[in-house]
Amino acid sequence: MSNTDLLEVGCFVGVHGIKGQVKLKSYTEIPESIFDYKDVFLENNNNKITIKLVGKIKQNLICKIENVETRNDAEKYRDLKLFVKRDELPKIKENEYYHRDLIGFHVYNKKRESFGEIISFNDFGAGLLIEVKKENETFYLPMGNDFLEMIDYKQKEVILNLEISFLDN
Amino acid sequence: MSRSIWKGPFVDGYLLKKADVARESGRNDVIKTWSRRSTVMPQFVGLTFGVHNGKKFIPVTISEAMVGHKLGEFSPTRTFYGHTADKKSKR
Repeated sequence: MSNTDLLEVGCFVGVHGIKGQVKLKSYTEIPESIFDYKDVFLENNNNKITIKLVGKIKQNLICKIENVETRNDAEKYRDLKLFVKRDELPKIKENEYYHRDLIGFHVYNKKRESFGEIISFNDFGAGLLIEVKKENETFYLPMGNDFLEMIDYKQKEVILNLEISFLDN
Repeated sequence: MSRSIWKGPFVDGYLLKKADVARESGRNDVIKTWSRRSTVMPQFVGLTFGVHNGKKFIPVTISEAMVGHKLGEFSPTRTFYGHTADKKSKR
């Protein structure tokens, strides 16, 4: 299975108690949704594991991994990332997109002036932003509905309604 | 009446003028500003500001929920790379 087929959905951040329970940090919108996926894989060898929700402490979920009964066994899972198959994600509607799908896309405006390549998505509390890289410099651009003009999956391009002068400091 | 209520919200004058021009033009241009101290006013809703964080401009699209906050609150100045303790545990 290639890495592009898998999506990171969480990480074991520590152990809990002496009965082999682990603390899980979930990256899903509703943290408990991580247990809805049929197959969950470990980062190191793509091994499928079965996890069960036991409780919640602050922002972390406490869970039990199948066949892990002691704290020493649980320690082996510390800092390991969890992945699910891309096919298991819900199908998107016409005007929706997964952020991950757009990483690496080139960003242009309507005049075909280049803003660079998307390297990450961020939200600092004031709308969705994309971080683009152009000539070893990075910039943040707005990606809200007011600015997003079109996504071309074939050409791997995102067209924004934005003037290139925005990049000038 | 507390002193801050009595004094009213602070906004840099030039920013208000720029916002008025942008609103009247109807275009969704980004208004670049260094004025992180300015309060978000109700007439800013729908506009997009580029708020400087000391290095670059962070686009901030104003929504109703942001009224009363300062522009600088939405333009982080520091990058979080994780705790040192986390790095140790990965060894």
